[in-house]
Amino acid sequence: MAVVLAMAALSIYATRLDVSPIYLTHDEVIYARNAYSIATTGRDLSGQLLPISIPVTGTFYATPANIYLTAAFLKVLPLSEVTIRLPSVLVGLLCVWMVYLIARRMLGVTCGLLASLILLLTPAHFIHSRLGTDHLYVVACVLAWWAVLARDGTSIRPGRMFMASAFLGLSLYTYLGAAITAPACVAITCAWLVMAGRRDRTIYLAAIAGFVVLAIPFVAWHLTHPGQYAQQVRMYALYDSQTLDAAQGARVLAAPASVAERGAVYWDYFNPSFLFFAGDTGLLNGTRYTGVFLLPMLILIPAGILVAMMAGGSSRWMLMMLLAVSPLAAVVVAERYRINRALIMLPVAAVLATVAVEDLWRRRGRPGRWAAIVLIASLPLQFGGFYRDYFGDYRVRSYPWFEYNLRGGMAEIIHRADDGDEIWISQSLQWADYYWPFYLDVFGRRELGPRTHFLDPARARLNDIGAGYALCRAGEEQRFLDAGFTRVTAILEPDQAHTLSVLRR
Amino acid sequence: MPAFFALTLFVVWRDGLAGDWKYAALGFAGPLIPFAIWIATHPSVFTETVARYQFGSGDRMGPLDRFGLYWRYFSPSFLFFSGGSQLVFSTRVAGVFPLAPLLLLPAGVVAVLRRPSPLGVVATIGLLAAPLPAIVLDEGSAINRALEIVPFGIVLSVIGFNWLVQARPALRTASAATLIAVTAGQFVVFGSDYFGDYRRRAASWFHFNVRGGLAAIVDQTGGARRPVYLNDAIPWVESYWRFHLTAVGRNDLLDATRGFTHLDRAVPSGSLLLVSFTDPAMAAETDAAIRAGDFHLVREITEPDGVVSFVVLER
Repeated sequence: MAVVLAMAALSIYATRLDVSPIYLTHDEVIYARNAYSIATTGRDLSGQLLPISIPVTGTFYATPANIYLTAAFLKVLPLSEVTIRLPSVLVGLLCVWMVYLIARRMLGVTCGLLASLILLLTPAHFIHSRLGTDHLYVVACVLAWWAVLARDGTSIRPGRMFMASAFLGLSLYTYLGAAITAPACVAITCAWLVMAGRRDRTIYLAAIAGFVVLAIPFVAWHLTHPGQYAQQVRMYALYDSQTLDAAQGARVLAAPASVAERGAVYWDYFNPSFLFFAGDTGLLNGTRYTGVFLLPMLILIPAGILVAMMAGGSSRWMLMMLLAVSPLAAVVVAERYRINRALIMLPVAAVLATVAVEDLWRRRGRPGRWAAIVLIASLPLQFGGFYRDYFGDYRVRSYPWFEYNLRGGMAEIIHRADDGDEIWISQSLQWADYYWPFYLDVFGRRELGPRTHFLDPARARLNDIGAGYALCRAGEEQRFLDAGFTRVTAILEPDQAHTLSVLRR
Repeated sequence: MPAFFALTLFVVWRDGLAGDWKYAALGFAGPLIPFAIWIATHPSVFTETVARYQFGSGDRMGPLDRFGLYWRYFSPSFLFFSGGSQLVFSTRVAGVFPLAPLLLLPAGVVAVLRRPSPLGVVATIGLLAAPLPAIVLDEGSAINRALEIVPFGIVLSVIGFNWLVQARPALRTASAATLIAVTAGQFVVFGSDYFGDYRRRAASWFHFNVRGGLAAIVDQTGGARRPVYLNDAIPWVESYWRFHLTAVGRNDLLDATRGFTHLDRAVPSGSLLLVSFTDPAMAAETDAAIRAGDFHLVREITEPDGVVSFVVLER
């Protein structure tokens, strides 16, 4: 039965990874290139040997977990869009399994299956399980921590507590936001123990030590790379890190205006319009066909919160505290409606919804049971509509968010270029300098790399450049045509919009 | 109000006094009768009001956006820190409530959910219904349209306080005294700002010192009837002028008042003009006219921070 369910989940999540999302995001390409470099040479693109933090571009450093997991996949599978997305599928399904463990421990086997089904059918979870990015990895770590606590309960022994907290320390290597979320979860752990009346000091030490031990390399690395903290502060515009030190910056963040603004952002992460109707503001993290959750959750989540508050108990309060801290990472950077920064909310909501269904089924008589049946049965129905749109019109709506059909344009050149051809790529194609070497590796044409030049068509003397192929935006095509190039092919999007051109002289 | 009337009927029914609904209905309908008669005899008021708020317009918010708007009326940031977005109705250095209800209000909601009392249920439903008029008008952070939040929020906060001190009755008096002291202290800070820097920050929201400008005009007439020209760029200047003239007993100047968009040398000699100086184009035009000798600067009207907002000119 478990195998059948796993295969069904895999078939829903792992199918047509190269079809939707329609193209790769630049984050996916950046991570994949570093993963491929580590898989083949042991070093990242900057030459670091097995690094803890991976410099990407400018002020951006990537956490290593998804890059190393992708590298592991690339050791046995060829570089492709499917391969680099498979690790996220694995992590997404791992989260589904861990939610089953947690809910089973709290409410029984049937509720465990129900919670895992609800998470499986959560649109935001489905979307992020198919993106080769790092946002979902922190959820896996938090769920592992939660699963240990759920299994052992408040009589947990120090050794197991250490292990649980170690998962939180591990999360620091999965996603930048874990630097906010993980300490919050350690605090939740301590509060949970206090509520359970635990007085033995060793359990609290174990709760903190597990996190600290795994955080040591993370902290040590930052101490030896002091500029990274300031650069990340600048990247997220938290405060002016060039004129303010960390203490001064903290005072800026704690100022009343900052607290008020961030309080508003926090509240908006529970906005029903965002959660159940419109979803993420961007088409990378949402389709805008549904909200973060499906509509039945509009009833199930508040009902679950109500039941949890009335019932009390340490496991119910753990749920509430996790829900409360789930948007913290997004709040610190003051970004509204970016579910990728608050994905912990998804499994928490799945368990809350299961709590609600369990209450309806057991304590509300026949009307409650019918309500539970209707609500649960509605989930796959609405998910079906979302699924169809995801592989259909969503691809058309979203292609600008995925940098247009760079793949199509680059593949054309890669397949056509001979050994002597030079290649010219317009600098207006954002991130093309990352996509190009990626697709060179995908198609095994690395030798084209040294013969590739990036130019600004508005300033370059196109008449003076040599023979070869050019890739540019459709709006820049005329400059090349005027310089003696001829169009090889127009690169079209699914709606037949001509966005890029491949030309040849 | 219809929502609160429905809430009244609910309470009446819940308390087993269903037969008394007619008294509630009479009390609600009584004051409405003159209103209904007036609307019936002035039908255009209804249609004009609907048009003013653009009901039925295609530009109005969709239901999903309105849902989000409603949610934000309960944002802790709005309720306890920054208040409304308009400086006419908020100083933005304090929320709608002082800080004490930040914990007490949610505690009150939890208390009502755990053990619903009639007062608690009414307060909770009243709180939830308070932003509805603002939502109908597609307005966010407009506390002026949702002021019912305040009394219901206070009642729920008191219910929350009672619930929290239940476990430690001995702390009741000390807790209450502390909360009152803290709230009073916060109000002192708010009051200090309200009578201080808030006046400077909010000046533009109150159309600047138009009162000072109009008073200067009346003052300059010296009791005589002189032509007065008021800059059309000053919002609501005609209403302000009528109010001020009535207050000082100079309605004789009304007939001699005209509006203007640009300075006109053709106005009669001795005319007095009130010009908006916050409009850069108007300010530049005024400076040029003064330098050219077309008009004489009578007085500059300043704001609390010394910025000149209006000038009074004489031809």
